[in-house]
Amino acid sequence: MNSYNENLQNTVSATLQNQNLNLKGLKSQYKASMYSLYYAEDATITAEEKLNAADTDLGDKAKVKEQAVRNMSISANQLNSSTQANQYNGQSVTNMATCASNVQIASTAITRLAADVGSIFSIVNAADYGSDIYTLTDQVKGLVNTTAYNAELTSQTAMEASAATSEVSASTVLNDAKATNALMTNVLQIASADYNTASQTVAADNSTLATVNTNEKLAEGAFEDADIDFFAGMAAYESVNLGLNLGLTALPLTSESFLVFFDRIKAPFPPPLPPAITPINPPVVVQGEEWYPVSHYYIFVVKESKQLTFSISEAENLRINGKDRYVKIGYEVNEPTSEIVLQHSGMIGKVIEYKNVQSSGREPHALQDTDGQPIVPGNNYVVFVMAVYLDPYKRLINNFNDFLSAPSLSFCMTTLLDPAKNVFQIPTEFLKDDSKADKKVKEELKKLKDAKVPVDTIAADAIAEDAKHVLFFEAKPPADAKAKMGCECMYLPVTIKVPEPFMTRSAFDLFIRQQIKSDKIKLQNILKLIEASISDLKERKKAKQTGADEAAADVHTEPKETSDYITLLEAKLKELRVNDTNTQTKFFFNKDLAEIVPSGSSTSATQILIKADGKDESLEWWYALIGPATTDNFGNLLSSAISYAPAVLTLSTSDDEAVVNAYTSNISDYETVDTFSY
Amino acid sequence: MDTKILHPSSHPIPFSGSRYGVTEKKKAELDALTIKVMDAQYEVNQYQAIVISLTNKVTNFQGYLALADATRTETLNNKNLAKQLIQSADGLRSDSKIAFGEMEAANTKTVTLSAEIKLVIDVLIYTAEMLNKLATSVTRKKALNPLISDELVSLIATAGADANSAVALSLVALKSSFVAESSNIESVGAIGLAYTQAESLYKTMTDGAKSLRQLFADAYTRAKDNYKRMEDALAIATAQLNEATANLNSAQVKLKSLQSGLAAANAAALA
Repeated sequence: MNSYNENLQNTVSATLQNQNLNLKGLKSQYKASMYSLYYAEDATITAEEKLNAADTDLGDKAKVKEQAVRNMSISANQLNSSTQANQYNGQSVTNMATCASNVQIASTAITRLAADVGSIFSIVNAADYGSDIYTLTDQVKGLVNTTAYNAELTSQTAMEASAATSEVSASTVLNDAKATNALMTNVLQIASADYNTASQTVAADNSTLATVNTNEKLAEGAFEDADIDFFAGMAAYESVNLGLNLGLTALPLTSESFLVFFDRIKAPFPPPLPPAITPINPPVVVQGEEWYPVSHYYIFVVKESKQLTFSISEAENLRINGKDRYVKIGYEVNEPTSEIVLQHSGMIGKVIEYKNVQSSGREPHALQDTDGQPIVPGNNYVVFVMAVYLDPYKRLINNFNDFLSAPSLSFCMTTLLDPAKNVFQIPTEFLKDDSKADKKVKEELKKLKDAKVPVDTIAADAIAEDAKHVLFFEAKPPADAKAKMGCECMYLPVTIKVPEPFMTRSAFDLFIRQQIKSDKIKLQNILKLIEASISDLKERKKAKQTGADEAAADVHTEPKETSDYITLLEAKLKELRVNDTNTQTKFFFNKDLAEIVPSGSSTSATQILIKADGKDESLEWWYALIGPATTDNFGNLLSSAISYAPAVLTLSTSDDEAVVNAYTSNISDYETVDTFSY
Repeated sequence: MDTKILHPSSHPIPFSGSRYGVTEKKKAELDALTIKVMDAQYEVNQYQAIVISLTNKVTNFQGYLALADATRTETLNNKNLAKQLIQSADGLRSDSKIAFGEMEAANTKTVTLSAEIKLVIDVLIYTAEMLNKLATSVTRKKALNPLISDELVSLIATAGADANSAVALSLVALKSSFVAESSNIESVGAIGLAYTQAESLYKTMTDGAKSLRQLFADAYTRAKDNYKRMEDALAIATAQLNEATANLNSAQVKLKSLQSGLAAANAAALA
């Protein structure tokens, strides 16, 4: 390269590197603010749950207080009545005693009269027997005797009445009433104190909620800023990359393949008219005024840590000596299977299966990185593209150097673990006896039975652990046993019964929509490319199948197994499409956040083992117990007042960090899964 | 054997296998050891994170359990207090029922008494009238026949005075009996009211799902269940923590031994 071009290339590299560093900073800010937001939401949701619990408690205390007040008023009235009854009873006793004494006095007086009449009768009987006086006196005597007798009887009644009145235990009743009232006062005091405490708690929880809500709003704001900054940074990088670095992009497809694509180098001027130059053979795509003056492109895979030191001289050296350390793309030879030359927008794309690279004009071989080491999934790499100009072009501009791009953004090939499917929970009671279960549960049980899941053993386990529910799901471990797939179950609180709707709900939707939007923009070019590749490959496959121009077509120009690539690319497309369905979670949650949920707040699921022919056989079914110690993803105990959406994170639990890095975790669909309450 | 022939005396240790680059091999071994240390460190870090998270969980649960215990004690106290209150209300109810019965009995007696006194007064007045008539007859006879004894006349006069006195006293008794009767009726009313209210108090306290008895009992049941759950939760979380701590310890032991190995190997290689 001449010094002009070198200077240009240096500027490009420096610019891209700056952008890259900036982007990394923004990305970490973005992640940090996402985590802050998550923790702020944790605080809010915890505060909400606490407030809910406090509200329920207050409701209970209010009921007790209401009853206590009601009982208290009855007791107070009763005490009044008892006091009055006691007073009246005292009066009655006095009155009755007076009465009895009066009756006695009267009775005595009547007896004295009877004695007088007796004396009179004696005299009359002696002196005037038989006279009319005698008759009259006799009559009076009879009358007075009867009267006296009656008077005595009455005095007895009076005595009895007095005694009975005195016997009335009104004072005991009063004492009882006093004692009851004292106890009642005590109970009322306690009930009132409890109520006051509970209402203070509610007030305090309310103010906590207000504070954490404010914090959450701030975190949201920060997240929004970081979000926009990050995507702005991304857009800036892409724009620089597109303008100055051929739009070079490397996109991991699977753990063993990645896609590299870039713009072809275009000469700034159309080719001079013949016979000034030798005709190019084989002819490159020359349409209209455009001229693509490159004969071959070489793709190098460089460790991310080495990207700053990889230079054109190293590339030239590798091109000559490092036979397995590059992938060559050219036009003069037949296209290998996985090569996609796109006629669209002047771009070139190539699917690279590093274990079996089909490079132009060579036998398939395994690709190494520029250090001569095998490429390992889970490590970060960048790609460089070297372009070798056509000789006529070199001669034309009298410069015999070739071109090396700046590095692409780093990429990492990993195996995406399968997400858990068929996630459902069954209450423990129905595992034992499904007679009362509804249709859905019965279907789920049937599903388990069909899969030979030993439901009874699991039910026994659940009962032993006091678990109320058992979560079941299907998750297929990766083919490589070294990966040691584990499943972490999280329970996301999706309905929090609060009087007013969750304040931040719409804000979250906005974030998610924004993210989807910018993700889509970011991926648009790639999608277009992949889709174009697919249609291109399909066209060719169709052409091959119909055999229309079999005679004309060179057998070698046709990819042998295009359908594999179609599947590969379509799978990637599917993966890149963002789920746009309605959300049931009321807070911001995604796979990144699921990965930072501490192990205490999630439950590890157990893969189900069965005995088959005396040997242990593991099913693709897993289960996790939902018991007294199970918490939601924020670490709050599960509550009966809240519905939870189970989310299963599949991840590699290997002890070997390199193995863990080679796998990407996946999360089950928690937006449409059935929810449950504890 | 080949090696021995090649190095007959220069090397005392017999070699097996072919020659290789010792420095390279040492480097490779050190690298492998370093990777092992890194892996062990990774493992330790993983377990450390788990232990920290579980420790937090256990601490949280201990807090919950203490709270649940306090609530349980409080609700039990409340429940017992309510029980005492209800017993007292029950006593009040039955005592006031007895008092009411007694008062009614006394009242019945009082009513009888008033009637009896009225009867006595009636016969007394009639007797007194007849006595007056006798006195008149004797006085008339005395005028015709002076032989009628003065004693008789005097006695009749006394009897007349006594009759007056008896009637007067009986009227006093009658009056006081009505006073007693009316106050007894009032008492019956008052005690009856107290009794009704005592019944109503007891019923309100004990009857139905919203009664104090039920509310306190429910609160206690809830607190008891919650305590049980917290106890279980803490037990499970503690078991998890113990397991994780054991894992961490063995990982730490492994790391330490690998680190020692690496340090020794490094020292030997670089000495």
